[in-house]
Order: sequence, then structure tokens, then C-alpha cells
Amino acid sequence: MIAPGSYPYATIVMSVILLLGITLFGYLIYRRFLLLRFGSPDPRIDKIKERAKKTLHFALFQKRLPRYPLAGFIHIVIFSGFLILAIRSLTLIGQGFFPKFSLLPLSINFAYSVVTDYTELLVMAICLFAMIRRAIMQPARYMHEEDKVNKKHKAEAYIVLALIVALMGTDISFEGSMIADNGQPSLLYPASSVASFFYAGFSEAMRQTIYLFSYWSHIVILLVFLCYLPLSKHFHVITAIPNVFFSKLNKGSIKPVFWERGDWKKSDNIGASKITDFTWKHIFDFYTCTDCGRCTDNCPASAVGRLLSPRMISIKLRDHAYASFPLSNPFRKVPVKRFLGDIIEEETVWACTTCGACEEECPVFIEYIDKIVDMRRYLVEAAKVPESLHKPLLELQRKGNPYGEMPQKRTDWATSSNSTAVNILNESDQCDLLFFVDSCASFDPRAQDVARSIVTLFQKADLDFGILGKDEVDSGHEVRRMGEEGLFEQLSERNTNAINKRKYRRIVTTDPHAMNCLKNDYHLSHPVVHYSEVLLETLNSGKLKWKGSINGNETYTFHDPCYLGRHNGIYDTPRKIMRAIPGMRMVEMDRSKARSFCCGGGGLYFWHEVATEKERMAVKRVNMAHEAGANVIVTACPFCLINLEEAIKANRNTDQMKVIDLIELVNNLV
Amino acid sequence: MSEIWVLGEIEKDQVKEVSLELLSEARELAEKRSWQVVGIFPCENPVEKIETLGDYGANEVVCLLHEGFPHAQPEGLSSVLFELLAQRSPRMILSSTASAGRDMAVRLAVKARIPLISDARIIQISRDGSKIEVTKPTYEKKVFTRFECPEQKSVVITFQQGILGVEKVRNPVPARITTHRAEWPENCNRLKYIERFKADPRTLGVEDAEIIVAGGLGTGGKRTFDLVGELAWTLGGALAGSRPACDAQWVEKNRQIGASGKSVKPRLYVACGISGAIHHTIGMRESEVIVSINKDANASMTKLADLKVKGDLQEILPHLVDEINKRKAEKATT
Amino acid sequence: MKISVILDEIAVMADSSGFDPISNVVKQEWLIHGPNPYSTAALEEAIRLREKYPDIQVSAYSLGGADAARVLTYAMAMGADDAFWIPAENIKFMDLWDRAFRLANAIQSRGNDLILCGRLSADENTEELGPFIADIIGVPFISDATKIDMVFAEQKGLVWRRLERGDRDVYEAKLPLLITVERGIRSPRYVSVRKQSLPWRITKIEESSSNKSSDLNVSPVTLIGSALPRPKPKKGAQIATALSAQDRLMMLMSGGSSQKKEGGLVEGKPGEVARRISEFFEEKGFY
Repeated sequence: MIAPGSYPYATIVMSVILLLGITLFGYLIYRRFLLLRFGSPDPRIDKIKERAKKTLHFALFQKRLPRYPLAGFIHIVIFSGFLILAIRSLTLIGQGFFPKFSLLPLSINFAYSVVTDYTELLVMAICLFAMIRRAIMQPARYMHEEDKVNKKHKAEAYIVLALIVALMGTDISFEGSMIADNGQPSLLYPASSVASFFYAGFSEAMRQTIYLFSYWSHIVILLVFLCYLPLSKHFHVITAIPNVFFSKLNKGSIKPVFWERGDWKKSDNIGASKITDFTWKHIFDFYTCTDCGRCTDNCPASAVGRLLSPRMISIKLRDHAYASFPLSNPFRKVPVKRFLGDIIEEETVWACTTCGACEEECPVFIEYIDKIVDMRRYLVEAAKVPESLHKPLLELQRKGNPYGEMPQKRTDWATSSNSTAVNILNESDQCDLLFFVDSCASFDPRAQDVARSIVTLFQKADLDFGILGKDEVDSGHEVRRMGEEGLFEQLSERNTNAINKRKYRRIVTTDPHAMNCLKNDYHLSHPVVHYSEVLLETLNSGKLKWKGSINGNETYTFHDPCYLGRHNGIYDTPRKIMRAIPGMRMVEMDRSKARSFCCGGGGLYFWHEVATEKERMAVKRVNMAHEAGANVIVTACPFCLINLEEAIKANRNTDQMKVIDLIELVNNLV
Repeated sequence: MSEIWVLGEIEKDQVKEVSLELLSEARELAEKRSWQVVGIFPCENPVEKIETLGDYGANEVVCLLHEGFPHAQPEGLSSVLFELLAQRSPRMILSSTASAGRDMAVRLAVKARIPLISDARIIQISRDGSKIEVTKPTYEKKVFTRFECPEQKSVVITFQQGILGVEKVRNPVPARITTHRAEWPENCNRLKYIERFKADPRTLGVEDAEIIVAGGLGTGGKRTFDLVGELAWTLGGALAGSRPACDAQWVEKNRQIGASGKSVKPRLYVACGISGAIHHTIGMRESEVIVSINKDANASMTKLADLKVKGDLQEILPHLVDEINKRKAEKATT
Repeated sequence: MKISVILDEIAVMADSSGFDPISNVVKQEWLIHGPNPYSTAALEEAIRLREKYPDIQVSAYSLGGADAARVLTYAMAMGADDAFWIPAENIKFMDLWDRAFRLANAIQSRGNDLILCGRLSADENTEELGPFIADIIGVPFISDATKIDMVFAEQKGLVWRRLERGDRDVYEAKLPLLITVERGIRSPRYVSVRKQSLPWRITKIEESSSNKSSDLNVSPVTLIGSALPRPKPKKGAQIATALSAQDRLMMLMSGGSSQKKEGGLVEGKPGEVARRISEFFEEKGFY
């Protein structure tokens, strides 16, 4: 047989195909890159080591993909197939110029060709299966409400799977026609051997034609595939690795309004309402979204029927970005159309509780919270804050807490109790632990119980601690996440001043939100911890002795607060404490730890009511605990406590259940 | 300067209770100073009850008759009142804070350019009658402020219903009753009355209601919750619910009271089976009078309530509705 | 077309601890200052009208010291087109006719078609400022509006006035007109801290010497002071209730209000309990 590269025209044809393909690809990438440059700055080239490590783990080793076992398996097969076959494809291109071209040393060429054959067979089979899975098995996460409206993006998956099948098929056919001509079918290369059986009866000329046709169509499909990547969700083949590399490292924090220096308040373009208001990395996120639906599948807002699908934010904004910066018009420059209120509804933006489940799940580390906060920042400045938030925000402006209580009453919870008085620190006073109470535990009667439990327990353990008293204001955690940056600055400045005027070693909080805020949003010189961490240390040190054990009839489960677990990685501390309790019988819910299900949100979410919602998140969560066989839910966040408690009362199936804060549970027994 | 006026109101052919209260108050103030109490009643037709106003302390009753009085001719009425005021210069004019009374009071004060003290609580007059001191709540009723009225000038003072109370005179003398056909110059017709929208008590919004009866999870179900509605309508108030009650669809979402619902400040808030989680109380804690009916006497709502009732809603509510209906009927006949 | 909105700042006492009943002093540190919510509702309505009809200019006016300047900044941040500050000291001690006169002067000279103001000054508990201004300017007024339907082309509009129990009276009036609005008319938009911190332009109006409020020839009411007065018992037969005598007096004075709440618990047979509740309702005048 005559190798394709041996034809005199081969070099020219190959050059033309390559030139066309690569030029087109280059243009596409250039346009995509250009749009990134219109995005706002976002410094992402720090901590190279950490980034490289993350890239290795999550991009190359695909650590997050097996969270969905079947889809993860499929993807890992295709991904490794791609890595393996890249050499094969380059070799084939080279053979267009030099018939004997080889990238690999001859010694392993044979071994590689065997691997290639098996890989191609496997990838093809997997791709066919993936198509069948989509079409017939229809995984629930592709059947989201919005899929029914937005159908266009569904075809992309089939197109790419078909292209991969075609790529594999043409190469198999190429090899098969060669074996049919002068080789021996062998189990070493089963795919090509099977193909060779089909071609065995053909004439030599026919085989040569098939041989050439397979080769050239493989090359053409390869370049079509390459150019199709930046046009579709399969851009991730190129962008996923850099996207993981440039991903956000400091979880739990919120991006500043602008990364540039200078006073953001002077700008009149705050937040995100146009595509170029996003940072380049956030636009890059849109390029990278693979439409896998894992984010939405784990989104509690989506689960209770709110108008939010994180995945659709990426898909819609990607489509919008491409449409407003079209490839067909190279002279069209900065897209200026606003998408908020049109492509992304305002209600969608307010439906998120910033629980972080989507970001935890995303295999390529797409960020949603920062984007949603940026969109909210725009809405806040455009005076489009939902009405239910007006009151608590105004109270925060005027009184420093959303409950509308006078700042003078902030310490009433501590002074009205019978226990020994809490040490209220004056300026320049000193203590080991500075207890940051925050508004909820200061003013909500139920959460006050939690704060008092902390105080009694700390006193039992003989810890040196004190509170800020009337100098404390709301941490502003939700204020910032609702997009009211100016108010957040005001609150955080007041707290930082008050904190810096006292001497302390560590700050401890009741509320994981407050911990997250002080730890990740403030710039304090000393560490911030959650009470559970102090509690575990104290228990380990042996300062506290168990005096009671728990009722043998009760089965406990732990509900991970989003801002303790997902955002700050504290999963095991509360569990260790629970397991140490004498008589503890504990079960885990299906959704626990990193997959914990949000209770509905703390802070300002307490006031916020969305228009569209089928069920309360907390009710769903209580049912999960019920299904797991628990009758006591333990949590470590006052908001979770309050939300779950209300949900228990509201549901007949669960009204025998109880919810208790970890500190109350422990405090009763030591 | 020896008259106290009461701007009277008539509703459904009855003299409104607040007008009787004002007459009683005027009588008490006038008593020691031999001042005259004059009831001024702008109305379409004189009603029977007017004849008996002497029982409440009126020396004289002036009926100002005109079609559409008082609401349809606000400017015309104030012009007529002003003319009367110019003739008789009363020392003070008492009116109610209800929509009709308040409008008459303000318009008269404006027309006559005299001071107005609205929502007063106490009037004190010096022995010789020259000095009048009025106390009224300020700072959302947390502080009481005293004002001194100018001497030798009329002053308009308004009172809320239910503050003063009604007292019949021991030895009543029938009041002298005069009726006037009201007339006024053409330039007092700048406002054209179109119509009145009567709200259906069953769809009365919580924002509009002076009385709100709300139910929570403690009602235990839709059936008991409907009894809560019954009580609301009997009292002429609006029905509301806590968040769980709204979630359970016992009552519409737009009637949800609380942090994520509506914030209200009615004169009366009756909480039926509401435990009083802060989510709820944040939306109603500024209500003037709070009544809590709950099985659990330790519920946080009980701490907030002016009247704390422990009991089973299913048993109490039907009795309560009957009792109120009975009392209403009794009141109408006396 | 010009809409003028009159705004004022109020001091809210969120807690009754802010008044010392022994020295009869309002403790300043317990007062929270902010725009009167009735005023901001009026401004919100004006801004909505501007959004609906072109060629409307919304001007904000306020009388007072630094508080008035603050409230005007807030008004600009909300979206007023311009703001006029009539400086005056100690306006809480100033008679309402006097205040109305100064505001009316400022508004009148700028030509206005529609004047909006809040129905109530929430801290002073007064509602006559708007009507006084209307009278001085010589335009009609409608108070307690819950809905305004303007046809600017015909220089007139419909106004819904709030009555008891959800009823409404509808009036038609020609411009110029002054309307005092209810709080519920519109929920004022949320104004971000950033917007409030921007350097908005506020025009200071120096008082003209030619006009004097004494020309009005009104005698002022004098503020004497604050006190928890000894309440006078309510007339008529006292009905036994669950409240202690002291609670009852407090309640009479405040017409309710939310402090005390230490009364006893009512329990017993349903019929008996029902009777006591209805007595309580009747005594309070709820039916």
C-alpha cells in the first residue's frame, strides 16, 4: 500500500489543511482571548507552587470527577484517551509530510500502537455509551427546568461525542485497511483487526481508497474538532487546565469590588451587569463550563425550586458573551449590552444563599459566589435591592444590627443571665480569647441560649475570655455577600477598630459566618477560630470531664454548616467532639461534609423571601436527617439551629425530632 | 371665648362613640368654668341620636347639613366651620383622629390659621381658664410632651378613640339643637369627590388593618385556622399568619407577618397559637396592644403580650366570636 | 413639570429606655437619626412619577440644621434632581406655622406643580405641616394618600385617601396641589452607603428678609417639656381586666405601647376566658 505521505500532493494538501485549520483556530482563540482582555483585572499569578499542585490534582488527576462515579469514569477514560492519542494524532499529521514520520523511538512504537488500538476502541465505546446515556438514560441533572427552555446547548454534547467517535473510527479504519492489505489480524490490536475483516473482501484499489480516505478524513475531522472546541462547551478541553491553575485559592473570601488600587466608591460602574464588568477569569470560567450540571444538581436553591441554576448562569452568560462579541464581525469591539434583568433575572441573583455547594462540586473550579456578589453589587447601586431586605439593611446602617435593637442592648444576653458575668472588655483590656458574639447570638432569644452555653462552658473550662460589648457591630458577612460593600466597609472598620484596641491571642465566634467573615474578609493580625475548635482543644486537654451521658434512645447526626465545612474545611472537629460524648450513637446523612445541604442561609437571608420556592431548604434538610434515621440533629451555627428548629415544627413527620447546638449538647454533659 | 366645640361624626345613622367621648371630655373641662359645650355635626341628614346628646354633656348641637357631608365637601365644610368659628370664637375645638375627624380638624386649623395639637392625651386648664396645657405622645409613644396653647386664641385638639371614655351626665339637660343649611363660596370647590371604595373585610390587607388576628403553627391545622379568620372578621380586622402557617398554605403569602413578611403596627394584634420566634415578632412587636392565646404559657409571645391567655384555641375561639357578637348587638341597642 | 418633596429627619427612640422618667430627659445617645420614613415614601412616589412621565423634575426641600442637610443628601442619593436646604436652628422648638412659612417661601419662589410630603412626622407625631404649607402657598391639599394617579398633560390627577378599615375616598384635583402621603404608598428604595457618601450638591437658601412669618399673624404653641404625666383615669365604668392598675394606666397613656407586659395569665373554662378577652377588647374600644 502507498502511504498517504508518499503521494506528491500530500505535502501541499496537508499544508493547506493545516494552514486553514490552524488559522481558523488561531482566529477563534484570538477573539476569545481579546474578550478576556476587555474583562476587568484579576491578579491570579501568585502562589505558583500551590496552583501547580492544585492543577496536578484536579486537572490532570481529575480528583473531583469521580464524585459522580459513572460520569467520572466516562470522563476519565475519554480524558486519558486524549492524552494517549495526542501522540498518535501528531504522528499522523507528520506522516502527511514524511511517510515514515514517528514521534516515538522505534523501540516502543509497536507497544504504543497496541495501546493506541485499545484506547481507541475504549474511547469509541465509551463515547457511544455516553450518547446512549444522554439520549435514553437521561440523567436527572440534564433535565433541569431550564433545559426545556434552552435547548440549543444540548446538541453540543452529541456533536462532540460524534466527532470523537468519527476520529476514532477513521483511525481504526485507516489501520484496518492496512491490516487487510498486508497484515495479520491480532488480539494485540482488536479494533483495527475487526475493521480489517470488513475490508478483507475488497479489491486492492478499493482498500487503497479507503486507506487514503480514512487518513484524510481523520486529519480533516481532527482540525474541525480543534476549531469546534472554542465554539462550544468543549472549549474546556483547552481551558480546563489553565482554569484550575488560575482558580481562586482563598475559599470563603469575597473578591473586592475592583482589584485595581484606588477608591472603588468613586467609580460609577460598580458590580457586574455587562459581560465586561466581570474579571477576565470570570469570563474564562464561562469558556470553561462544560455544562455537566453538577453545580445545579447540588444547588439547594435549585433543589427547592428557586429560579437559580448555577450552570445556566455560565451557559447563558457564555452564549451572551459570544453573541455580543461575535466572531463574524471582527471589528465589533467591546460588548455593552446589559444582561441583568434580561438574560439573568434579578430574582435569580437573589436566590443564592452562597452556600458554596456548586463551587465545591465543579470539576474545573468555576466560581459562582463572586459573580453573584458582583451582580448583586450592581443591583444594590442601581437601587434594586429586594424589598424584604430594605428593613434589615437600614437597621444595620443606623444601629449596627439587622434586628433593629439599640446598640446599648447588645450585651443584655450576657448581663441578664444568672451565671457569672461575662467579662466585657474595655479598650486596651487583655484576654486570651476574644469572643465575637455577632448580632444573631446577641439579639435572637434562641441564639442567645447558644451564646450563654458558650459562656458557661468557657467558664467551666476556666478559659480567659471576654467580649467587645457595645463596641461590637454586626460582622457584615451577609451584608457583603448581598452586595452592599459600602455598608460592609463601615461595619468591618468599626469592628476592626474595636478589636485592635484590645489585646488578645485568638478570636472565637459562635457563628461560622462571623468566623468566615473575620477570618477571610477582615484583615486581622490574630487567628480567628470557631468555638468548636476551642472546645475540642479543651476536651483534649482534659480540663473538662463528662458528667453525664446521652439518652440511649436517641440517634444523632451532624449537619455541617456551609461556612464551617465547605468554606473553611472544618468537618472533623465537631464530629470528634460528638464521638467523644459518652453514649453517642451517630449516623451520617447522605449529604454530609462537603456535600452538606444548606439550611436556607443565615444573616440577612433570615429576612429574605424569594418569590419562587416550592419548599423550604430547612424542611428538606430535616427530612434528610429523618431518612438517615436520626432523631436529634446537631449543628454548630445559630442560623442552622433556628432554621432547622422551625422546619421541624412545621412538619408532622418530623415533629418528634430535635435540633440542638453542639455547644449546648456538650455543656449539658460536662 | 367660652365655648368648647366638638366636631362630631356620624356613621351608619349613629353618632360615633368617639364623638360621645369627646363630648364627655368637653363637659368635664367646661364644668368648672361655666363654658358651653357645643357639638358640631356636619351631616347629610340629622339623626335621631342627636336629640340625646345632652345626656353626654352637650349644651348645644349644631347640625350643618349638606349633601355629601363631611367627606365629599372637605373644603366647603372647612369654610362653613371657619365662618362659624369667626362668629363664636370657641376656646378649643375637639375632634377625633379618625380619618373624617382628622380632616375636619386640620382643614379648620388651616383655614383659621390656628394651632392644632393632634393625638392628644390630656388637656389641663388653669383655674381661670386662660392657660391650656396639652400632653401628647411623641417618639412613637415612648415620650409624652407638653405644649402650652396661646392665650385668647382658638386651638384644635384631636383625640384617638378609646382614650377618653364615655360618661353620661348625672342630671342631663336636653341640648339646644339648631340646623343650618351649609353654603360656601365657589372657590372652596377645588377638590372633586369621585367615590368611596369599600374594602371587603375578608380581603382587607394587613397594612390597612387597625386590628390583626394572626394564627401560627399552634392552631394545628386549617380548620382551627379558619376559626382565627372568623375572629378577625368579627373584630373587623385582617387575618394574618406566621411564616410556617403561610408555608402550610392556611393563609395567603401576602398575609405573612415577620422578618421575611410584612411589618405591621396595628392598634390590636391577636396572636393565636404563635410561639413568638424572633422571625415573627420582628414584624409585629410594635403593635399597640398585643393579645396572645396559646396552649403554652411559656411561649415567648406571652412575654410580649398585654393580655396573656392560656388555653385551647379550638375551644376558646368559637366562644369568643359568640361573645363579641353578643356584646356588639347589646351595644347597638343601647 | 416640577414635583417638590418636603423631607425631614426624625429621631427614633427604638427603646423606651431612651427616656428617663425621673429627670424627664430624652437621652440623646438612645436616639437614632434618619430620614422620616413618610418623607422618603413621598420622595419615592415622586421618583416613580418621574420614571413614568418624562420632563418631570424632582426637587427636595428640608428645613433645619445639619440634620436637614443630611436628609437632603439622602434624598439626592435616592434620586432627587436637586435639593434645597433652608437652614434653621432648633426647629423642634419652632412653631409649625413658622416652619410651614419658611418652607412655603422656598417652594413658592421656585414654581411648583405638585408638592408631596409625608403624612406624619414620626417623632413629633404631627401631621399638619403639609396642610399649613398648602394654605400659605394657596393650593388645595389632600392628606393620607395611598395612591396617586396623575395625568400631567391635563394638569390633574386622582388621589386615594386612606380611611378606616381599608376603605378609600377618591378625589380629583387640579394642579397645583399638595398631597401628604401615607407610608405604605411606596416602599422607599434602598440607598447604598456608597451613594450616601458621595458629594451631592445641595443648594442653601438664605431667607429673604422681605417675608416674615409674623405676617401670618398666628400665635404659636409652646413646647414646655417632656414628662411621664400622671394619667387621668378613663371615664365610664371600669371593667375588671387581667391588667394590674399600673399597667392599665400606662396603657391608657400610651394607647398601648410595648413596654410593661407583666400582667397575669388568663386561664380557665373556655366560656369564661372568652368573656374576659372580649371585656378586654371592649375596654380598649376595639368594637
